[in-house]
Amino acid sequence: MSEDGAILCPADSERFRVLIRLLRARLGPYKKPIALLVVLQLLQTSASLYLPTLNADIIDNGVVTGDTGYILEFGAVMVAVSLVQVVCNIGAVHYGAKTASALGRDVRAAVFERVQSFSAREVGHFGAPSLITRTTNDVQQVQMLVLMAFTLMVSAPIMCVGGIVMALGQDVPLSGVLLAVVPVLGIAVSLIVRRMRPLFRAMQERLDTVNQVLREQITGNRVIRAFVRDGYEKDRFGEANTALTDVSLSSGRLMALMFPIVMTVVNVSSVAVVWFGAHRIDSGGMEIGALTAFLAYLMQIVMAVMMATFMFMMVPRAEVCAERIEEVLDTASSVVPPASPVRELRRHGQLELRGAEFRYPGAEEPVIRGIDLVARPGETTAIIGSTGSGKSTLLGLIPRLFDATDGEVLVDGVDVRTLDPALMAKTVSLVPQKPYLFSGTVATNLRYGKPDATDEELWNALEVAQAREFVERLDGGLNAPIAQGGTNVSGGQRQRLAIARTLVRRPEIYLFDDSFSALDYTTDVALRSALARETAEATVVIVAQRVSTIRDADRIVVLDEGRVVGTGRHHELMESNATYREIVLSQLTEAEAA
Amino acid sequence: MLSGVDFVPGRGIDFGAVGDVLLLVLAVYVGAGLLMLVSSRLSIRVINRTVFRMREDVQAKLSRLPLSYFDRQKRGEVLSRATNDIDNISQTMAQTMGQLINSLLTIVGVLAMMFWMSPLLALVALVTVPLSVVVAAKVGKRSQPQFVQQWKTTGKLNAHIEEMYTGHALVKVFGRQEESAEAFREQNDALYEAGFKAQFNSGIMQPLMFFVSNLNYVLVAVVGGLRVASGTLSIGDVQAFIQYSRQFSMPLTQVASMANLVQSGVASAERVFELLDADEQEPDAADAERAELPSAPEGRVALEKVSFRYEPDKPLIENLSLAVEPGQTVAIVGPTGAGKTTLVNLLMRFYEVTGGRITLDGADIAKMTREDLRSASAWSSRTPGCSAGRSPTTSRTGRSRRAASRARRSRRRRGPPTRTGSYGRCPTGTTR
Repeated sequence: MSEDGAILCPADSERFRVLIRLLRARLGPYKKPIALLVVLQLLQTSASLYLPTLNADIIDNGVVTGDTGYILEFGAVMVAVSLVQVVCNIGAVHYGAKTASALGRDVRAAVFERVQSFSAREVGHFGAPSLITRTTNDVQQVQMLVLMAFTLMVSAPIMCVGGIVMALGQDVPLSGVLLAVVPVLGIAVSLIVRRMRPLFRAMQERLDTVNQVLREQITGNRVIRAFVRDGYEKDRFGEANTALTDVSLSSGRLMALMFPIVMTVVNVSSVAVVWFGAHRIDSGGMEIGALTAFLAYLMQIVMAVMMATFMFMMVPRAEVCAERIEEVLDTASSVVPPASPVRELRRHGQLELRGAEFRYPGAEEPVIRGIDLVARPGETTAIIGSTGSGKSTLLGLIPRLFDATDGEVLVDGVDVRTLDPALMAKTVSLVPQKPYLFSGTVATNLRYGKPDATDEELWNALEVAQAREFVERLDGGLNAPIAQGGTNVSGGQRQRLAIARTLVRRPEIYLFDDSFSALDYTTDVALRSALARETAEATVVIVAQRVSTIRDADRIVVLDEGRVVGTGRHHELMESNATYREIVLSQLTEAEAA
Repeated sequence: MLSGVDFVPGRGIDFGAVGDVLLLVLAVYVGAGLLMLVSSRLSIRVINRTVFRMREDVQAKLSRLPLSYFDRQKRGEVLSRATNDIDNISQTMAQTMGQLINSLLTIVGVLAMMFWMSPLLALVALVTVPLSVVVAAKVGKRSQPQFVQQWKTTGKLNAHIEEMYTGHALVKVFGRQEESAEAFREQNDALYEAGFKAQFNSGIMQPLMFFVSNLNYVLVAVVGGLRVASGTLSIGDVQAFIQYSRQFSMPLTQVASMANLVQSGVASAERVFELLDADEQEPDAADAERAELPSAPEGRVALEKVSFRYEPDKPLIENLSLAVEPGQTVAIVGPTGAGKTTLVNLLMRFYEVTGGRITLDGADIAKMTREDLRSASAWSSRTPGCSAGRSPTTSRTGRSRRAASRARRSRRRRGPPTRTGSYGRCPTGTTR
């Protein structure tokens, strides 16, 4: 509505544009059902507009004159018109609900697809909880607005204009009352809506905060309990909840003003209509049935204005949501799939980093820089370094969890940025630091990397990962249920399942990010020797804190503050590298280290 | 009001009488407006308080649920109940509650007036009510399962999204984007189906009821016309009657469509109450039998014949006794899966022992409040979970200010202004 433009401040109109842009782009494929919906709404509204006129006719020409035949005849017409109205209306509801739901589905799919294309960097930027809200709740809000708009955008203006025209048709002089009613109503409603907009916006933001806090508390439940932060968390939530309730109350109070004001305006004007109408009837200028019709049209106009108002009250919330959705859709992944991907590799599993650097946008210093490293098939390369030296970041560059900001990462001489993602997933596999398992069963988790793996392959991988024994003991064995995140097995068991999952896949390059930390010494040793046999042909890169895990590696790379400060075998580094010596001697005695 | 314009053909209108009636009507309308304002404000307050308390209850419940609950449930599902469903309840209540009462009262009032004026016409006006009720019940019955389905699929989809976003790195590493997208598509389509059906069913209530009210109108006009023709009813009365029957069917339509909308809220409410009714961990002992923790606990820990099993038929720890004196450091070793972490979980009362007891300075820890117990001990998890939020939130979680400032330093220098959370988003694994 044009008058609404006047009550938007600049930032508002920008937000409104974002909402419109989103809707335009996403409603494009549904032009046909929308056109159909408009036609049905037109018919439906015209029929409802015609009904009061028919009513008036029945009274004036039937009831007043006592003409029963007339009443019956026009009664039948009225029933027919009502029938048309109800059929068209239901049809319109059908297409409206269908299109709005389809819009919701499409936007959700678009957001999900975009998030999937994100690198760890973008996911980190938004945060997983916020991305979840954007994919479900935000889309739901936009969908609801669209549904409302479908019902009202056609019928409300027609009802309003049509109501005025029909009222004029009943009696021109009496329509003068409308001249007073419509502006008064318009001013009152727009005053309230204008004050309501900022409140609604604040409400959406505070609702987000409340949901955000709840999400954190569900996710971080264990930590909160261990550190006895229940009280603190309760206060934090209480604060957010009170803030939300406060703003919801103020907007509610405004809303509570709306209905009584509108109804009083309508009622007072209907008194005026009766008073002036009586004079018109008395002077013979108007029939009595017209008075009833006139009141009905007045009611219709007011209803149309009220409905439009309700829709505009939903706009601020949907605007905020649309903005947040568009933010995701406008963010390009920093890891771009190659335009013309390399689909085949000649050799198998040679890994090379050349002057690789990774820097977060806006950070003063890179996390890692100038990393040169070669890992060959049949060799084990270990990376060791103090906490925060950039070990995990380095590993993440290889499967492109993020891309190097400088230098390059090569697999068999091919830059990973030009490698076909499917081939990459086949060639390189990473066992992450936090061994995350998906909900399902042991088998579905193990088959995650290779859906067609046989049970035998699974048992073999479990055997190597030293997990056969405990899986055998589980209720259901391979089909034993696994909770989300793998919380129903112990930490060491989870790590071994994660290792087995990668073994099932049989990649050419194995990347282990501190994957043995939760294992006891015997299991660690047994696992590594079994692993050495299993991965004899493959390229293995191990990140570790524990010296014992890596001392037999073919090559050890020492990382400090994001740089390589030494490369060599254990005994070479013990002699030549101070950083390495320091790390080793913090864990082992001089004799053990020798 | 219209009866003031009582009009008998051939006689003029008594404007004095009309004026008097209209003035009275005006006063009534203004008074009604004021009362409506008061009642709206009251219902707004009630709704907000209710939702406020429901949120508070859910939050409090989260801290009382045993950890095993979170092991069983998908996080995204719990999240959906705590956020999407409460949100839906609040919205449906706001859209219905004030109006519902208002409409119900209007129905009663109008009905009384109609009977007072003309019992016969009142009965005529009521003829279509059973039809309205049948229509409303039919549509309502159809939409109820649709709403349940809608919120159920929302929860499911939310759970899938949560899992995929949390395991984002793994999906990438294993090249499973397509499968994950496929599973998403399935759930998303299910939500589309359920959402469409629920919206459609709730949308057709009003047109159907409107249709019934139009039928009613014709009926009243016909009967009224016949009565006027026979001279038993004045035109003003018929007019007023038509007004009343409109006034009667409008709130009836509203009640029906709101009752339908309420079902959506009820479907959500059921899901929220399911969460609120879930079994809780054993409440802390009542004040009377509560074991007082010494103000300066010495820290003598003793396990007396402790048994524990996660699943009733699978013994994990049986008859374990152990005493640790203050000043001693006891390390617990064992192969993985032997129950080391479980033992710590029992000491912290994340889980409750199924046999025997654990004492701290001679007092049974089961009789202490969890808060006292956990304040007296410190724990370091092996899977460091950061509670999400800007990083300082995480550092506030513990007491180690040094670790926090170290994390801050390293972040300032090289890290992104990132939220902490799952894999790859905390500064680094070990700074957590």
